[in-house]
Amino acid sequence: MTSLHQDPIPHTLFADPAQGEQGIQIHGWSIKTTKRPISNAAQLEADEAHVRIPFPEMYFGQNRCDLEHTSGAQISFTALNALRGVDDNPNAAQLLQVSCAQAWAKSRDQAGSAISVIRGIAKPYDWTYTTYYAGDGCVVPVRVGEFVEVGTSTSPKTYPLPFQSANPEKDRLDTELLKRRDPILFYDQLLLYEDELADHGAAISSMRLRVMPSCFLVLLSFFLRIDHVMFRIVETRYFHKFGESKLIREKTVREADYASVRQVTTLHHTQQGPHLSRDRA
Amino acid sequence: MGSDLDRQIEQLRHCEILKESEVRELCHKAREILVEESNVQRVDAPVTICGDIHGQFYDLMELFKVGGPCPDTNYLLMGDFVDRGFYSVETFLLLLALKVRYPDRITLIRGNHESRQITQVYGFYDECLRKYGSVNVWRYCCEVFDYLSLSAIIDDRIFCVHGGLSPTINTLDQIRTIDRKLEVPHDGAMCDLLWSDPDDVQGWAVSPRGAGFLFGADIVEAFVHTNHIELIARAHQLVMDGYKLMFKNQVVTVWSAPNYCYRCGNVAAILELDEHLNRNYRIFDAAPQGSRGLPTKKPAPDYFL
Repeated sequence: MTSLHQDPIPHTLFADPAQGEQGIQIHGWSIKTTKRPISNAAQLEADEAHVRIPFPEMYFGQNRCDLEHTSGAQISFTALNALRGVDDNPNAAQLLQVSCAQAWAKSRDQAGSAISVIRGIAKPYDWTYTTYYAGDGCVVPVRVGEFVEVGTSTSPKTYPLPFQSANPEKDRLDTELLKRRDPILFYDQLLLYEDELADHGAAISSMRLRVMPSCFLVLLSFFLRIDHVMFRIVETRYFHKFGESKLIREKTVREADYASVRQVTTLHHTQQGPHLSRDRA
Repeated sequence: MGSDLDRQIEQLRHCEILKESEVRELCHKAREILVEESNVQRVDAPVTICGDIHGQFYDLMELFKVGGPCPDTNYLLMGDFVDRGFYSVETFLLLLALKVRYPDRITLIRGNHESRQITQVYGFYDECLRKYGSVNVWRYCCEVFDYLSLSAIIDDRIFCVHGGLSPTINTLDQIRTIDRKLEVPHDGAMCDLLWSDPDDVQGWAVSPRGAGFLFGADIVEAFVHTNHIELIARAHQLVMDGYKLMFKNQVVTVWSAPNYCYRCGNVAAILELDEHLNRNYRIFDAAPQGSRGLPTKKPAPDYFL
């Protein structure tokens, strides 16, 4: 790797294009992304043993993001572990169906004997590829201090969050700081996996990162759109203000039915179709 | 007309759209040709089979470079010409103009994206609106979609279809009796041919999504036997290495959109059949960045929250 840049704000950018790697070293942190093409048959075979569901159509098995601090703190994000977060319980399959499912099943029943040989649902699993994966952390010993999670969910459902909230009232993302137009020293985005739900919508697990002179923000997001049915967004943010002894993780889960989201987006983007929302990554 | 058409083809090869009135006329002529085609269109080898294109115009140009230009090479494209890519209009109109100009040298069969409903969600409708300021061109194209054949048979030995088989279809003759000139229905044989997938199941199964069929090796074995064919070629699913053989090599999926959606980094393939039906897969990469008239892909830093 070659050092490309030195700046008054002490940091080093690095890149290894042949490996699809780039990143930044700043304030004792190393933040690195790896971006490569979707996995080929041989790579899929290697990961197959660890996954009990069919692979999504676009699986970026080699894509990852790694955060390391000189204290030993480490957080990593991998496509494989994001995918392992998808529910492989057979019951998970039937929670949601594509919009035409009922009409489809009805006509199938009416079609009668010709197709009575059908054996039921193949390999049930959560075909929406919803993952509540929030990254893999080894956060002790952590010189940067407490690991804080602020969980908020606007969804009527509650989801189990693996970390306790330390002080949800006090420890929040510093949105004022994040809104400031400070120079972005390092920015990247990457995909972990994506599935088109056989042209019934989109399921996308992706990441965005930005590193400013005073802080960094990492966003891991899962986006689901089932056409004419619903939207779901699971977001995990990691925020750290350099010099402070806290790494804040905030997780939100939001769900809404299709029509109400379309109503809002149509108001704001009259020229843009619903497919637009899939191209966040 | 001949020279007019040649001029339009030349224009489209440069990724320039036609006038709305020209599109209307082209679509009209295309319908007159397509209406004569069978639901199981007969094609003679040698022929080159292609999978999904999805509006990736510059990659289609790459495909023609690898496979040879039409009409020198006889092509069979298995649908999904539009949606997702940036140039569905140019892609479909070029293929259509070639079809009208060389009807016996290019066969277009219908994919599940050649539908009013799907194109309204996945880009083609919006692209027509953006490039023409009205949806007339989209309407003309959709009328053509309704006339596209549902499948093809090469030298009575290789059956080509966009998606796969249907539990209500055992013979090619049953496909021939479908009244195809309509919007793709939500169910039934025509829907299945455009939507179903081969999978590691026994017999027929329903997709966990609640709609759509999956068919197993035994179904393929029976269909191949009943219809005296040797291979089912289909598209519809992204396969990382450009093509994928299944079920004792009786099914092949061919995928012809490299670097799918401009972000997957995958290779694509076409399947060349010589006059003896010997198979040769040609693998190709996406067109180089510079040739596609797009800004480079590096994401602009963004103050996301």
